[in-house]
Amino acid sequence: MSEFETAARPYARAIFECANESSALAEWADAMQAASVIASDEDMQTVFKQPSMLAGEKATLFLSVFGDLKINAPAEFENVIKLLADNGRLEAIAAISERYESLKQAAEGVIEVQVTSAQALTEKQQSDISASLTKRLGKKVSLTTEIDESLIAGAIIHAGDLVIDGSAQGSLKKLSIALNK
Amino acid sequence: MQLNPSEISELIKDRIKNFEGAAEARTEGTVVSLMDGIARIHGLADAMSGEMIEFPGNTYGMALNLERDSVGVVILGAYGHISEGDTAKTTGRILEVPVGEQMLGRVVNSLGEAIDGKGAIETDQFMPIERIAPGVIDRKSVDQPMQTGLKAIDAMVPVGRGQRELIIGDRQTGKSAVAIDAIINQKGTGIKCVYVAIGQKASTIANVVRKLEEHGALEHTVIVAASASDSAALQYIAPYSGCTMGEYFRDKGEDALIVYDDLTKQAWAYRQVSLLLRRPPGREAYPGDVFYLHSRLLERASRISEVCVEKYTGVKGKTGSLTALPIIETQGGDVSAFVPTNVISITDGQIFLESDLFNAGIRPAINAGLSVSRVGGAAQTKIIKKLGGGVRLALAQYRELAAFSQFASDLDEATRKQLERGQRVTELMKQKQYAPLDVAEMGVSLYAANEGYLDDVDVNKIVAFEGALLAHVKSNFGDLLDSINATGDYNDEIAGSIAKAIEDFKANGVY
Repeated sequence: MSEFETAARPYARAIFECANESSALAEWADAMQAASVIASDEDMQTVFKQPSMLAGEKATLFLSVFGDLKINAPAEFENVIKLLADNGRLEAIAAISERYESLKQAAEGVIEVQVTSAQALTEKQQSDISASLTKRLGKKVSLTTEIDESLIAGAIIHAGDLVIDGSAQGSLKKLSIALNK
Repeated sequence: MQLNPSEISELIKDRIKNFEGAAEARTEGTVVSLMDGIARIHGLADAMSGEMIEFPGNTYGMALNLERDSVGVVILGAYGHISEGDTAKTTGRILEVPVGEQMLGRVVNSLGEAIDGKGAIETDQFMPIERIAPGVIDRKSVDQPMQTGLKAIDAMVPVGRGQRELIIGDRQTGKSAVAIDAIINQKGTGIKCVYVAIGQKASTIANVVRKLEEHGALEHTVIVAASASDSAALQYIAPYSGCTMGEYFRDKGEDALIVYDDLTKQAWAYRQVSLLLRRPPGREAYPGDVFYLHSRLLERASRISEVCVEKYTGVKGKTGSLTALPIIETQGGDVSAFVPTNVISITDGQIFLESDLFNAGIRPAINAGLSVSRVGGAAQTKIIKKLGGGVRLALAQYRELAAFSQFASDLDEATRKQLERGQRVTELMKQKQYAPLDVAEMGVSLYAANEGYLDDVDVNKIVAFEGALLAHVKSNFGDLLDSINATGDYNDEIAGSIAKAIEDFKANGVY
C-alpha cells in the first residue's frame, strides 16, 4: 500500500468511469501502465518533487517522455496528466494505475491468479486449477505460473488476498511450529 | 526437570500423529508499517474484528482497527523480528485462551501460556476472551454470601456470590491485601479464584504467588500475570482472559471469584493502544469507549440460574456465579476522576480505603461512611446480619462525633458512652493480614462488642482481648463454633451460648 492510496482512489474511479463510457478500458490500462513505469523512474521522481518547476512544465516533460514510447493513448490522457500536475499528484500515478487495474478486473469479473509450483505444471493441471478456482471464486481466472524449486513439492496459489498453500515447504514449516510448541 | 528420553519420543510421536498437513487456504496481507507494537497490514480483506492474525515466527496479533485500505493489529508479545513487507495471515479464530481445572495452581500470561516453569498446561478446551455477558433471563439474584474473612467487610459491606464490589483507594492503602485475604479465605469453600495482575512489578506478583502458596491458597487459584514489562496489548487483554477462565467455572455450576488488580493500569494500557491506533482521544486522553471497556468486563461477573448452567454445560440443578473484586487506584483520594467514577457506577458497591486511616493504624483502612454494598445485604449469613447490622452506621456516626467532640470541653454521659463504644468497635475492626476469620469467630467478636463486654477493656488492649477470646472459645467451645459455621443461624439459644462462652473467658482468661 503506497502512501497515496487515499488520494489515488477518486482519480482511479474517475478515469475508470471515463474509460468505461468510451469503452476504451484496455487502451486506458496500457496508457496508465506505461505512465506508472515512467513515474517510477528515479529522475522523474526528482522532477515531481522539484519546487522550482511549474506544474505545466512538469506535465509537458512527462508527456514528452510518454510520447516517445509511442503508445496509442486515449485523447483524454493528456488532460489527466495535466490535471494531476496541477493538483500536485503526479507522484500518485503508480497507485492510481494499480487501483484502476483492480477496478477494471472487478468490472470484467477477472481475477489474476499466480500459481507457484515446485515443478512445471502440465496443460491439464493448469486447466484443472483454473476450473476449480473459477468455481470457488465465481470469477474468470487469469493464470500465471512460476516455478520455485525451494517448495520441494506441491504448489502455492495466490488469488488476490487469498493464499492456498499446498506445498511441502509450507507443511514442513507448520510441522516445525507444532513440534516447537 | 529430568526428561525421560522415551517420554520425549512419545511426545513427538503424538504431535506428529495429530499434525494436520492438509493444504490450508488463508487470506494474506503485507505489513506496511510497524511501530510501538502496532502493525498496519494491507490486504486481509476478510479480517474479523478481534481476529487472531499470524505473523512470521509464531507470533500472533489481534485485529482491532478495520479500515478501508488497511487493518490495524496489536502484536501480542515481542515484535522485534517482524519487519515491513512481512506477510501476515488470518487464522479465522477470535482470540481465545485455554480454560479448565488444569489451570488451577498455575501462573499464566494473558494468552494462557504457563510462565511458572512447571511445564505446559494440558487442557483441550479453549474459549474466546471476549464473550457476551449472560442476559436478563439467564440470571439469578445474589443470595449467597462470599465471605472475605475480614470482619470489617463481612459485617459492613458484605459481598454476595455474583456481585461486583469495587476496592478503591490511593496507593499503599492495602487494596491488594484485602483481595488476597479474600482469596485465602476461599480455601476449602469450593470457590475457585482468579487473580489478574495488570501492570504490576514482576517481583510483586512473585510475592503474591508465594504468599498464596504459603497459605495453601494456590491450589484453587489461577494467576493471570501481565507485568509492567509486558506489552500494553497484553495488559489490555489480561482481565478478559482471566474472566474467561473464571467463566468456565461459573458456566459449569460452580462459584468463582476474580480479582482485577488493577483496572486503572488496564485503562492506561488501553489508552496507549488506542492512541497508537490513532483513535480520537477524549477526556484525560482516554478513548471514547473506555466506559464500555470496563462495563462489558464487569457485566460478565454474574450469578446464573440452573436453567442457564444446564444450557451451557449440561450440568443439572446447580447455579453458577462469578464474583468480581475490581481494584481501582486513585490519585490523592480523588474519586471523581474519570475512570474511578466510571467503575463506581458500574459496580454494585465499593470498599473505600483511606491513607489517613491506614497511617493511623486502622487496617484494613475501610472508610465506613463511603463504603457500601448495594446487593450484599441479601446474601449475608443470618448471624452476621443480626450482629453486624448496626456496625457500619455506628462507626460512621462515631467518626463524625469524634471530629465534633474535639471542640467540646465536657460531654454528656450519652455522648461519652457512644465515643467509647466507637473507639472499641474501631479497634475491633482491625485485623491482621493473612488471618481471615470464619463466620462463627466474627459472630463472637461482634456479639462481645454489641453486648458491651468490651466496655471495661482498655482501648489499647482490645486487639489482644479479641485474640485471646477467640483462642479460648476455639479450644473450649469448639462445638458451638462448628454449629454456627454449619448453619449460620442466630437465635436466643445461640446468643445465650455465646454469652456464656464470653463470660467464661472474662472469668478465667488472660489477655
